[in-house]
Amino acid sequence: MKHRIFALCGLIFITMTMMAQEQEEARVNSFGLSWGMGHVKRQDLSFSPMIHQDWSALNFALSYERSKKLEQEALVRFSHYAPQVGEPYEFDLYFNTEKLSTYPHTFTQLDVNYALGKNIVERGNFNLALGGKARIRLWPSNYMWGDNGSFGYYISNGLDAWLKMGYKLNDKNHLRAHVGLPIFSFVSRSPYMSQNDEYFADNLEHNDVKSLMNFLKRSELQSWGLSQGVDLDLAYFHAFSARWELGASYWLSMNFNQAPTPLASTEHTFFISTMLKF
Amino acid sequence: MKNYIFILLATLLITSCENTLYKTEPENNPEALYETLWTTFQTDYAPFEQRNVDWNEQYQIYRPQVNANTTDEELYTIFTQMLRSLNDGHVSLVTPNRKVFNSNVYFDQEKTDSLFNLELIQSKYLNNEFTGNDDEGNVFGKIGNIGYWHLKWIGDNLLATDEILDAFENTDGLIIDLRNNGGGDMTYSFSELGRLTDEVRFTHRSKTKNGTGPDDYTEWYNWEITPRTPYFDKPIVLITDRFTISAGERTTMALKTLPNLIHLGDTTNGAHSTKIGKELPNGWYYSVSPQIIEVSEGVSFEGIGLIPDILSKNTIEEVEAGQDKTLEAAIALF
Repeated sequence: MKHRIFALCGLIFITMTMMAQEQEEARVNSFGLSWGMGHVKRQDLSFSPMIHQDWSALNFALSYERSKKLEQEALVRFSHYAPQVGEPYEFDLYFNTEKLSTYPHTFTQLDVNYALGKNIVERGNFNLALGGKARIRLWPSNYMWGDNGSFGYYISNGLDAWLKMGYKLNDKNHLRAHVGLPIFSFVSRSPYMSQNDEYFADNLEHNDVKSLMNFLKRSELQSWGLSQGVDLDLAYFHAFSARWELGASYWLSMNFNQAPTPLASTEHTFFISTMLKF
Repeated sequence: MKNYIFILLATLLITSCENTLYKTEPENNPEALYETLWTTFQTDYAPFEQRNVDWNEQYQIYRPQVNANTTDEELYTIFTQMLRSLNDGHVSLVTPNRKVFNSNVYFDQEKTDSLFNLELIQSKYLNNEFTGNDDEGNVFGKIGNIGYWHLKWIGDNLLATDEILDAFENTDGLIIDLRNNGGGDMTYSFSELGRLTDEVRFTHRSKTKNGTGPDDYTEWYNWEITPRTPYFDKPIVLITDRFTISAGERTTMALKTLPNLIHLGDTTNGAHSTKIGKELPNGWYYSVSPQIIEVSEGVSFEGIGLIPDILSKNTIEEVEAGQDKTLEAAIALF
């Protein structure tokens, strides 16, 4: 297994080097890695009437961008939060002499996006691209209720209208912004009360991948009446060399869904990023 | 410069609108806490009728006892008294530095818990020759030439079903002991116990709350066990008690459809729904039962329990004297 990983890494390195040599002049590709502090605020009425909030440093994003005739961006983003209403405390359970403790809920968010756009405005230092973004949001959660818990999921696949803006401040510094607005989404969510017989049937094979596929099969097409949201990020980058840039960015992700119950989620993240151009 | 100002203003506008997009949270004061708890049961608890409880009547009794000055201790007492009316093993209340309150008297007061002693079975009846332990959820071995299998809960311990049934291939039959079975994930019973049937058998049907109205339920869902080879065709005795609950009872429903099975022991707990957790603004947790379960059309044993074919219940004196008369009655059936 180690040999395969080593071989794969070597292959990627060689490919990148060859591409870098070929495109020494243009440097149209870039890999980016971001880490940051995020804050989530979520209220999912299928589970609780409470608004859950938490700060977390478990926020990462990995991106690949290519700017040539078309603008392309692939992004994988991960975040994890552990909110709790009130302070943790201890309690006893019947037939158990050990003290137990309450635990926070956990929200995990995995977003995978691919955007494709075309520059429609290029004026001086400013450019604007417009296109579409294929988006997958996979958000599993675990709600903890003291002596028991409930698994939850929110899966949204869809297409967003996608806007990319860039502004070159000078040779070494530039600004960038993205906006994504959903056109339609296929959404699969935990049922009202979080569990029902269909949910149990979806888990009958006790295989997480098969359960995920079963959840996906239950996805329903939703337009703006039921599923709303906006993704926005604003970034500043400074070039340290022809290849390396360091940046800071603010990301806002707002998601609202109305079926089977209202779900509202807002996430603010402050990232620091490094970017390799090749 | 104008662009920057526009972006800044747009961001500020979006974030300031944020709060209007959330529903108002319930308040954290005694009266609001009471209203939240009572209303959640009113909208999301299913088996009021099966348990013969008038929830509005409970409101009339307990709401006047709560006011702005009610202490946590008083509120806890009011909540537990009100929830006690349901006598439902799936209704619980978790609060700081107390034992979890369970609405069911058997669990809350640990009544008759001492009538089952697995260590006694391991030492006296299995002669300390058995596989598994409490932590694994399975204990199995042979009593003479009869297979014995105790399941502490229903979950991934059932993935050992093939291993256990294969070990009993040459026995005269099998005792499945679900006494003190605390439930768990009933889907494991329906995925793993197919070796006990030679045909598809309807076991029960259920429907779940899917809205706040009194008639807001999903369609009925039929649960079945489906055959899996090789078929285990030997006589089976199932033992239950008052602590056989939840997924343990759904498993009992499935097993009771088998023509080669006799059900012996005490009536099960009678809490058949799934259990859904909820929280209050003060950090207390509670749970509700959102399902109606019927073994056939219009027939529900919610709040009653599944009644054995042969009633047998140990006494404390017998257990303390080192005798499990219920198990002995099961052995005598082979």
